[in-house]
Amino acid sequence: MTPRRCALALMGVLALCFPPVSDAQKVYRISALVASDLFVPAFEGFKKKMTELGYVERRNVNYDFHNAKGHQDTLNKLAQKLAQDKPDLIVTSSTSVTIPVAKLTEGTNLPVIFVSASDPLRFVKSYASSGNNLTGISNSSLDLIEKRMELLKEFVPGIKRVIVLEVPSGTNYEISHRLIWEAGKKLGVDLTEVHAAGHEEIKSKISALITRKLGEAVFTPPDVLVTAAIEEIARQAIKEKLPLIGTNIDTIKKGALATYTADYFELGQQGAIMANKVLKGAKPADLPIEQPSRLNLVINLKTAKAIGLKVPKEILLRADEVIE
Amino acid sequence: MDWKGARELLTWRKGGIRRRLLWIGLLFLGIALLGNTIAGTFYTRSQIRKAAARLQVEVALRVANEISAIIERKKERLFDLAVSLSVHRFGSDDQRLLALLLLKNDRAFTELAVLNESGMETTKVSERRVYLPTELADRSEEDVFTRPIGGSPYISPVYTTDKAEPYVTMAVPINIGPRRTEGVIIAEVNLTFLWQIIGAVAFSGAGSAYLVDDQGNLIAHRDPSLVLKRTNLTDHFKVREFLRNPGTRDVAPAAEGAGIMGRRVLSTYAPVGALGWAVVISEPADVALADLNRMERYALALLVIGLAIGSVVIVWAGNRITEPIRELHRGAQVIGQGNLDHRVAIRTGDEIEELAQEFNSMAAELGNSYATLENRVEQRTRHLAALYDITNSVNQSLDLDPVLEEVIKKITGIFQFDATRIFLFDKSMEELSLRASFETDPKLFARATRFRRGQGIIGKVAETGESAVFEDVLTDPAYQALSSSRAAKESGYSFFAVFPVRTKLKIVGVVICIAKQPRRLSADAIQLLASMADQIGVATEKANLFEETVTRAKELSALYDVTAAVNQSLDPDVVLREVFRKVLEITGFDGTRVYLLDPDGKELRLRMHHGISEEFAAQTATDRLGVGITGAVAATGEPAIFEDIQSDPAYLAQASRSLARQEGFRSYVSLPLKSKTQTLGVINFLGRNASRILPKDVALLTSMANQISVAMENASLFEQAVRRAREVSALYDVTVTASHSLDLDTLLQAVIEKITDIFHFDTTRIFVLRQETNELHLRAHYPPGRADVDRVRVFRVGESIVGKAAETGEPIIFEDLVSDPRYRELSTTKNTQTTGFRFLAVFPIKTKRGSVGAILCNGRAARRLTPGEIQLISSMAGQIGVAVENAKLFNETRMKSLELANANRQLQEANRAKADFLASMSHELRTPLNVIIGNADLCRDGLFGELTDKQRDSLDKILRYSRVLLKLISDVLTLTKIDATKMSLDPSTFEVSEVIVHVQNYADQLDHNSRVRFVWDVPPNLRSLTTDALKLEEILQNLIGNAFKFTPKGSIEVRVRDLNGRDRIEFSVADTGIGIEAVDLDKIFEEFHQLEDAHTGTYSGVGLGLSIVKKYLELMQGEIRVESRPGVGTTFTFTLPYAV
Repeated sequence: MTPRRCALALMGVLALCFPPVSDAQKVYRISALVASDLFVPAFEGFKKKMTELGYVERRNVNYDFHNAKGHQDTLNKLAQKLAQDKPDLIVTSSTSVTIPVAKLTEGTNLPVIFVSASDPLRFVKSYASSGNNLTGISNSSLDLIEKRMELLKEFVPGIKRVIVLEVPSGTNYEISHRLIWEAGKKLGVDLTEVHAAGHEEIKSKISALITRKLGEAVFTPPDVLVTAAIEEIARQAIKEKLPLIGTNIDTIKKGALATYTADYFELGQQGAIMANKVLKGAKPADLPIEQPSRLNLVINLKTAKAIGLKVPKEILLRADEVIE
Repeated sequence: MDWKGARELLTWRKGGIRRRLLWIGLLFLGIALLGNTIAGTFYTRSQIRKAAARLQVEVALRVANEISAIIERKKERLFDLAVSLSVHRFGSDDQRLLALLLLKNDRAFTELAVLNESGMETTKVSERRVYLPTELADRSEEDVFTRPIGGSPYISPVYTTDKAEPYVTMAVPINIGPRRTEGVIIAEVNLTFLWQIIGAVAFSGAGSAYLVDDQGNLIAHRDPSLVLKRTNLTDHFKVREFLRNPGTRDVAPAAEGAGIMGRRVLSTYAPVGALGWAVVISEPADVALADLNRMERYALALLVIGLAIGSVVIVWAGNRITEPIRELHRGAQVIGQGNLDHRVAIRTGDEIEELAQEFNSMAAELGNSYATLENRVEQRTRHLAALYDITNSVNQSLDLDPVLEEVIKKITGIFQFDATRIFLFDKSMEELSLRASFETDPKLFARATRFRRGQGIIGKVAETGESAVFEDVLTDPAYQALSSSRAAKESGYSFFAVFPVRTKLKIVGVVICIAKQPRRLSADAIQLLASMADQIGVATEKANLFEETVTRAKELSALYDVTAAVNQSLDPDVVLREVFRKVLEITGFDGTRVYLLDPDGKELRLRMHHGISEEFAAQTATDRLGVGITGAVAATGEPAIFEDIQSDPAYLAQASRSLARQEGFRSYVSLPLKSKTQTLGVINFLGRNASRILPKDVALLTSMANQISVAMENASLFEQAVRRAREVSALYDVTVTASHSLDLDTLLQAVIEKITDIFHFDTTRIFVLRQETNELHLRAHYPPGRADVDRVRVFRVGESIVGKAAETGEPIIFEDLVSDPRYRELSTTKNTQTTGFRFLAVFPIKTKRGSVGAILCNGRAARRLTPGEIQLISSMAGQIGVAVENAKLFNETRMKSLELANANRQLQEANRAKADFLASMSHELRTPLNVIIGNADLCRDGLFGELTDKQRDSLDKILRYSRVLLKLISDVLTLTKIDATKMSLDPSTFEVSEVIVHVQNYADQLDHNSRVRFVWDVPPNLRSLTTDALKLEEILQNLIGNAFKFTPKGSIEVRVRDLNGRDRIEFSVADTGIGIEAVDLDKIFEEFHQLEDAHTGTYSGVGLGLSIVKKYLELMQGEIRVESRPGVGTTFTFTLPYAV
């Protein structure tokens, strides 16, 4: 062996002793689509947790955020755009957003994480494994319909007739309608169904839809088309002195009386943990669908006062969040 | 050290001192460093491993304790709630509110139920569900009630909901006072809160903690997805260990083993209180022992660095030692390359310096020796260069003189002799003559320029081949004894040397070297001079060989030209002219003559001459065979050679007239011209000078003569071939003409023209035999317009010359009938002679049946036909005979054909008339017959009134015979249709049984009074048949009807059989009737054929049935056969294909 070969061998051994560390860093592209303003907190929670996990915006991650503002057509177009852009990850909010995105990415390996789907079984095989490119968190909103109806009865113990405002073209209409009617029947409440084609119609016909003639309280289903018009609905409910049961914390903040709900901000954070795993190589099908880590009872005391309703002490004791 | 020095430093030779130093040094250094590293690593490894294991145990224990404490706290909360509840009534709103507040305050509780002492749920609240009073259940039989009601709390095994999260059910008693249990609280506890605790445990980012239950199922992990998938960890070696020790409270020591995915891990576990769970800490072994690995890498790096530094030090030390050795090596290389003045300068003061001095001394010695050797080599080189130049000169030139000049020049240049001379033998090899010389003083030029072999010193050397060197002739007694002329001595020379000039075989001359002063030559010098003399020998031999080769080439060229002339021309004159030209060109002859032998072989005639006067040629124009020299050569085939005929007595003795001598010629060669078999003539070569004629000259001339013979023979053969080709062509023309036409007159006219033209006859005629009259009639003549010649047109066979030739079958030829007495004797007409012809030939025209004519040929001049011509005309006559036969046969055949065509036409017309008649007659007969049958039938049935028995009998007969008649007419019509090919098949696919049923009906009608017994052997499941069903039915009916007719009593058996493998079906109808005689068997299928008995009236019918059967079967691709024995019965068997 010549000295030159000896030197080369020496360098080789040293290189093996101290392997080089790669400092190349990938910049991820994450596209997000939410159905309406109600789900914006979920995306904010997602971003916050992502930052905690080391994904700093404009350094190693870029977000492409879209809000359909409750318009189904806009939502569909945005879903198509997301699928065509082929980012590293798509984050969706609710069932209504996730369904078109799931269809457009079907058969691909483009990962999709939904952060607050009320009915995940519409697009995944089971809670244990999606069996496709999707995973995420259920917001349990449909599970809580019964509890919300019970809550209404606790607010107004002798209530007989309740207005249910629904949009039949909504994504969750059929299942939520069924669950609401089952809950009404179980709790001995007559339900009056009022329909609107979308939140524009709700706004325009709100005075006709919600009147004391139709019922003693208003119950809203977990439907983005309805919750998008929650301010108008709450305004009319207050006007008619009718207790209004919302679907999430934002609806209560905008004037609904009370609800049981998961915290969407927390759901977003939960979703970020899943996103981290996916970006590190886990397959969505290997990540089971998660449940909200906690459910909250939220009450708007201002609304209660506005409609002249005295909130029972027991409810106040149990409330997780009271808006005054 | 400069770059070159550095490169040298890196140039490692096998076995070099430096390299050995490096390797040995590195080996010892490496062993030392490696031993140190291994020992250190081994010790550190055990320490790190122990620390990692200890850490894991501590963590596992801490986490297990923490989880155990949390679960205890949950239990305590329930106990607290139980205390609160105990003050309220079961089922009250207060109890419900308390329960709901617990759910709110502790999210781990997702559902609560309060049971009274009977085990009945009184309150039930849930985070997600609404329980109505109607939904409250009796749970008195469940463990969740029976265990706590006894006073002790209960925790269920871990289970999961449909959302896959882990839960346990906790139940605690509601006590009123220390001893009384009034009810039970049951709570669903979601264990996901444990995930945070477990998830907080992390080792180097890769290790983690698992909380497993008593089944090995995962309850908590930092990755919830693993839990939600209800992962079972029994693959993990520590989990298995935990499950093998149920109820253990001991912490397991950390150990290495297979983890979840089979990866090697460092792991331990700690049981969680009395829950039956365990906290398992698991860390990939490579991560857990990362520090160890890192340490090992550092140790390895240090080892490598140590080795590297050691190497540098060893190389430096090695260089210090080996540098003087390399200097010594370089010096040795320079001296070794020839620089003997170089000296090695080493001042180390040690053994290496002494060695360098030795080298220097050795170089000085070598330098001295080399100078002496160089002078000798230079001298030798000069000698060799001179010898090389001479050899080169010899090789480059075929001319001797330049070579001799070069030799003298070189000898003089090297030895500085005063004279150098070269003598060579003349052709006689007896006398040496001076060929080249160099003299310093022209006055002293050699007086003696010639020496005879053996004369004096020079002659002796030339004879013996021994060199003679005299250093000083004045004092050398040997010179005195040998020299005859003492020329050298008298000329004042002292040194005298003679060297022989040799070739391979002989001595061809000498080289003489002379100097005025005495001189002594070294052995090398003598050797050099001898070698130079040898080179002269080589040059001489080459020059002789070249001269001989040139001569031979000229001769061969001449012979080639002659051969080429022979090959290129078939004209012997051309060849002779070429031979003459060449012979005179390359030999010393001045004239040539060629004589050719007459065909009769008796006389030689002068064919061509050259170089002699016309007068002399005329005088010698002929010679008789065997007379004179030319005649003798022709007769004997032996050459005659005279070198000088003027003085040679042999010439005078042989020559008949000595004309050549008189003409002044001296040399004379006469050679025979011979073919393979005979002598063709003689060629003479004449020269005006006497010259020696060598055998090679004779050989050359003989070759020329042979070429002339070949040319003569070629010309003769060519002439024969042309003649033969002309004859064959003529025969071909005649044959073609004879076979082209069947019209005899046209044919004969064409042939006769050909014969006349080919053989240049003046007239030709052909006579053809007319057998009826046995006369030969003129059928063709050429040229036309010779009425005188054609006057005689008929000869009887045997009459005159034409008749004789035809009769005998032999040609009769008169070469000159004027002088031939036979003509007068044979000719009866003398017509040829009177028409002015002298030549007459008659050839018979022969066939197998004898002569059928004759050809008569005439010529104005007498001529002689060659045997070939006679043969050719005979062959042509044979061809004419064939043509005559063919024409005759053709005419006969044509006549026969015409007759047959006529007869055929008549037959067709008759047949058509018959068919038309039968068809129309049958049709015309059937119509009235149907009327008769119809009316008779009506009458018999009593439609026209009652009938008496006699009337009925009569009508029965009318009906029976009318039906027979109708059947006959129908058969006739059927046959007529078949014959007129108007009948065709109407195939369909049907079952055989369908046809059999119809046939059975027919048989029943036939045998209405059961005269015979019918047996039906038809196997079931026969394949369907595709053919004409009606015709098949009719065939069977005909055969059965026939059998019935000829069977007065007994049985008729109808059998059907599938012919396996042949794709055919077989039907047979066998009766026990009267049978058929063997002689009749061949005729029964003929139309209107009836057996003998049938004509007697016993068996009615006209014999058309079987004929129809046969014709139908032919149409249907069927085959029929019959077997019969008179008195025993007849069997008709036919087969059909399953599909037509």
